[in-house]
Amino acid sequence: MSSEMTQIDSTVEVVTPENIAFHYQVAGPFRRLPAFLLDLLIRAAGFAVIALVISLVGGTIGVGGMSFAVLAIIWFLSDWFYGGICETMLNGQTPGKRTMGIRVLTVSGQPINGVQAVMRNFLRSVDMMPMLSLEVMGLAAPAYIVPTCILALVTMTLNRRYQRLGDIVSGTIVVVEERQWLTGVAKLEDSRAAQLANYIPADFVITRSMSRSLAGYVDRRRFFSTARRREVARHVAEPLIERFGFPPDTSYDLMLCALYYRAFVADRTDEEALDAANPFGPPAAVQPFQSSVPIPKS
Amino acid sequence: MQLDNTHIAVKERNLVDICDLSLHVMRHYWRPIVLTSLAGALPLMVLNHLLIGWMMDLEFRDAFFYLDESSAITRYVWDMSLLIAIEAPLASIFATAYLGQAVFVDQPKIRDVFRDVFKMSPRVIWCQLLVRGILPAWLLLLAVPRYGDFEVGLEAMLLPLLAMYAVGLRVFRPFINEIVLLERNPLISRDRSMMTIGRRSTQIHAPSYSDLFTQGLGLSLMTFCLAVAMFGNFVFLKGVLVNSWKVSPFMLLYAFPLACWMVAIYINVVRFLRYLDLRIRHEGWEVELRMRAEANRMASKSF
Repeated sequence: MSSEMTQIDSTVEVVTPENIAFHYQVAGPFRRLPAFLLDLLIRAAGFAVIALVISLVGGTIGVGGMSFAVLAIIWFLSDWFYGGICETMLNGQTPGKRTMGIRVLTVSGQPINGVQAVMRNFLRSVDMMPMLSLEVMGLAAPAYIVPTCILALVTMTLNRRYQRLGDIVSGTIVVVEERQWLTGVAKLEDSRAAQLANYIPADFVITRSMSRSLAGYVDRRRFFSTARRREVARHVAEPLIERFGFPPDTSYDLMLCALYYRAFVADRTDEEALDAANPFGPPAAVQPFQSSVPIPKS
Repeated sequence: MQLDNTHIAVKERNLVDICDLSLHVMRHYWRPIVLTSLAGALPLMVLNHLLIGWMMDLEFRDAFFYLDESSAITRYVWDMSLLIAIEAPLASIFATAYLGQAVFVDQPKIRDVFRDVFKMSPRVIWCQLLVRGILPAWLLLLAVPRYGDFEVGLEAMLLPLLAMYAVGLRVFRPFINEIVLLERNPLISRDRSMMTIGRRSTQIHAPSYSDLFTQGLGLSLMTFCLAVAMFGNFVFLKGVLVNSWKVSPFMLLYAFPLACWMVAIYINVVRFLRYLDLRIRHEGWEVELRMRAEANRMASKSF
């Protein structure tokens, strides 16, 4: 899609101190939640193993009360420092974040430092506010231990970079690490497209926006049914067929493939591109105007 | 209107990304979304209050029946939750129509949105009020004697069954509002080639039943958690303001439905973005928009 206006999207532009702009998809609360839950699970599992070992050792040497105190300290440390230490050691990731493919960066796209990592994790307890008492649910005496996370949700809604309070204070964002594959010129399975491209008048200029649209169409057309290809291609192909004086039963899909061939293969002088994108072999003795699938025109 | 220059970025997304983007959409269009959602939800809130508000009228409760307070609260929360679950799509008709226009048009007029929806009202009444069980739910609750005992048959069997039917239908065919209000297909047609609402609904939903089911389960869980968190937030606010942490009947009467409706409004935005996503995945909608935009540009250059 062209981006002449500011679109509502979860992508932000981050300009590094070297004045290089990167586009990152920022991770919102729902993208982050599975990573948080996974980290919670890892911590709980680790704590259970440690608790078992300490209880056994404490029971064996007869310092049961002491082991309880040690466990309380371990829980406290893991609760407050697990995220900070992991994000410092693993370059902005915890095991949960790594599994879910998200990473913490500074707002200028740099790796975060230890202070930022610890600070943003310290403030998580504020982001989880307001806490609810179990008493509200009629379960137990007042104990404010049920997080609603509404504060984080509201804060993240109110800014474009989905920053919670911890992120705002530390100057960090959480981005999605997605590897995007750059595809070359699409392969066209129908050799008639190249032949039809030769019939397109030489003075017809394929604009930049049309090139993008054609690339999008050819990239996605293999997922469409024949009828859907016809439906989508009709908008552009029909007036062009009329303009070029091609037979009215020319396949709309073939017409767009021919335009694509003309835009991305035939007009390119780059030898490598030609080699890579010419899957047709020698032109066969086929009628280029013949419709590949005869569908009655509406 | 430039078809390939949409206000919301049109591209494939997964469910969590859609949920995140919905927050952006809500922030950007908060005023019209609140207005249009209120227009849809407010009459239903009043109606629900008239239908079952008496259940929290504790003075009358003492006088007329012997349920203890917690049973009365459970009964009210149960009936209200089911009622809102059934009604939520109807409340979102104006917001859906607005969002549909907002994708392409810069600041659509709300008056036009209302006019468009009223034009489609017979189809909305048929699809939402009748087929999706809203009117039967109202009739069921109307049949419950006021200030009477808990009606096991009506409230514990028929109403939950109706809610299961409505929610089940919504899980597998969630985009009926979008089909009716944005695609504007006719309700019936003798012409077999004509795309009616039913045929279009089958066409768009049937290839994705498994995806829709999975998403529906996830969203149901999320809706429940959000509603609890939102209501908890109201309880917390009340506790801070008046130093009373007890969930009072007043809170249940007003704050509980409000929390549920707020979540319903958000879920409506999520549903709209899921609709766009489904059309992109299955119909290459973004490619079609580009093609139509190119066709418009060619036409304007008078080929």
